Amino acid sequence: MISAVYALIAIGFTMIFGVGGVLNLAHGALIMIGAYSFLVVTSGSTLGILSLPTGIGLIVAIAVAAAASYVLYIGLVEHIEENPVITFLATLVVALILSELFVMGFSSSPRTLINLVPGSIHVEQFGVRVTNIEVVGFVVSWIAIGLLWYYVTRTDEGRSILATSMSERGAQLTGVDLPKIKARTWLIAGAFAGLAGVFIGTLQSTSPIMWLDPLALAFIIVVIGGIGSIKGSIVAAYLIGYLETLTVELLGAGFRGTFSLLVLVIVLLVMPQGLFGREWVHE
Amino acid sequence: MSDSTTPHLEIDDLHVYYGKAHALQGVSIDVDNGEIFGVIGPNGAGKTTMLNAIAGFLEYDGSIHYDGVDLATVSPRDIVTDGLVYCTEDRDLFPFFTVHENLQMGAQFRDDREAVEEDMRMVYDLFPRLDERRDQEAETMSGGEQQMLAIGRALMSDPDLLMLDEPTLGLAPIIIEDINDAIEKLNQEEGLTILLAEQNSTFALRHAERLALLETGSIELAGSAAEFQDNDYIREAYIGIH
Repeated sequence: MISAVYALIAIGFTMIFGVGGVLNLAHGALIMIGAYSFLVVTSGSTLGILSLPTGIGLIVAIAVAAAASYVLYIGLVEHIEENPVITFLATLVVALILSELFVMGFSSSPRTLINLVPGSIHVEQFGVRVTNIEVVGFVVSWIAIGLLWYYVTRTDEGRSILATSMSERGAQLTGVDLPKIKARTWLIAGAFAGLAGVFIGTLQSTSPIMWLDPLALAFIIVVIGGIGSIKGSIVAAYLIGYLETLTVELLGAGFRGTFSLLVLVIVLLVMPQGLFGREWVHE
Repeated sequence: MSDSTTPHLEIDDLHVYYGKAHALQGVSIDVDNGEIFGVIGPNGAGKTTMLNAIAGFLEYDGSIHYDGVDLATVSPRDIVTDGLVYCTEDRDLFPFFTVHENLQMGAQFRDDREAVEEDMRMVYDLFPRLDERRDQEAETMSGGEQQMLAIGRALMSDPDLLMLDEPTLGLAPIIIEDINDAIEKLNQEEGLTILLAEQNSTFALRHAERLALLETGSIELAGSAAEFQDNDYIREAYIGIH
């Protein structure tokens, strides 16, 4: 179930790489921003009076993360994206600064998000218990992915995003407004990260270091799926998601990341372009 | 549309530098409305550099005016939307888009859906091979088909002036015939102005009313097709028939 949320994170990460050639190390921080935005407006304790319904909290989380991502691009990345190394370092610095700011603002101890949909369902046949939040996370993530898919395959604007990731020069030749398309890609990636943040924050943890695991995860998923490929991200997210769940079930939570890294190494050795890495081949 | 007294495209004293290399050394040409203007010259003479400068992809000295507008003041995107469309030598297609999607991309900035539909029919009409392969990915097509698609995609942007860079390079003679007919038809029936850069001088001479010979970054000769055909140097060095 969590795999769909992982897919959200990886899709945003891979889109930004595909369109702008930028490895956005602040992507995990956007997830953190989403989670804390939700916390601030719903918990009631943080900002005193603010205790909005969780549904609105979810929308706020999406909006704030999208805005943060947009500002990050317009304010910083757009001016340095010609140099991949500087961009790489700059986004890492942004992530670290945000992490520090969150420690100062919210202390370093983990916080608990109000559950969007408390309770759980018992599935008799399989003898497993699925929490409602997992189900909702699954459904909402797939709705978001579906909307994105429709956008990039059925509309001219969305198609321009995919086109730019295939050939930037080709996009220029067909009159694509590159700065606008790139900024929009960051906006979408930010919105996806914000959405993912609420579910990750609820299901795993909300703390100032929560940006690290999703970022590492996004890296692994994107490399396995093929850099720049949306389809690859979805497939790899499921692969990694199931692998994690299985590992935690059979070996315990301490081994959560181990097997993902193992798969990563195998993929890098056997098929370095990833499962659907065709876009990368043509860069 | 510009009136007939001012040139459609006016390039004046164009200089381009790649580091210390002086790639274009004061090139000046005028392209008139409705004509096919040929730029010939050997590999490395600066033909592509000139087109890249016009499209706004390179820094340059000198001036380029299109319909009276100084192109240094507008973005590469505005150059395309204003009808100066560039079909590059590398074609720069979208490899994993189908033929149809590539053509749709050519028209992505246009709002008049009916006109776009009409142009789509026109392109499929012009290149029936593309019509047969609407759902094929661009990457899997032959060089000739890709060239047709590149021209088709450029046409979907509703150009007034089309810049074609080496449209016959590496193509089989039978495919060159198809491209040939298409260029003729576009110029005569649609009134499209074409700036054609070609190493294949025979091909360029067949279409262009006026030509310029570009060698190592400067124009060595300019004149009508008839003048070019009668010129001894051109005959010996570029046409190879005596």
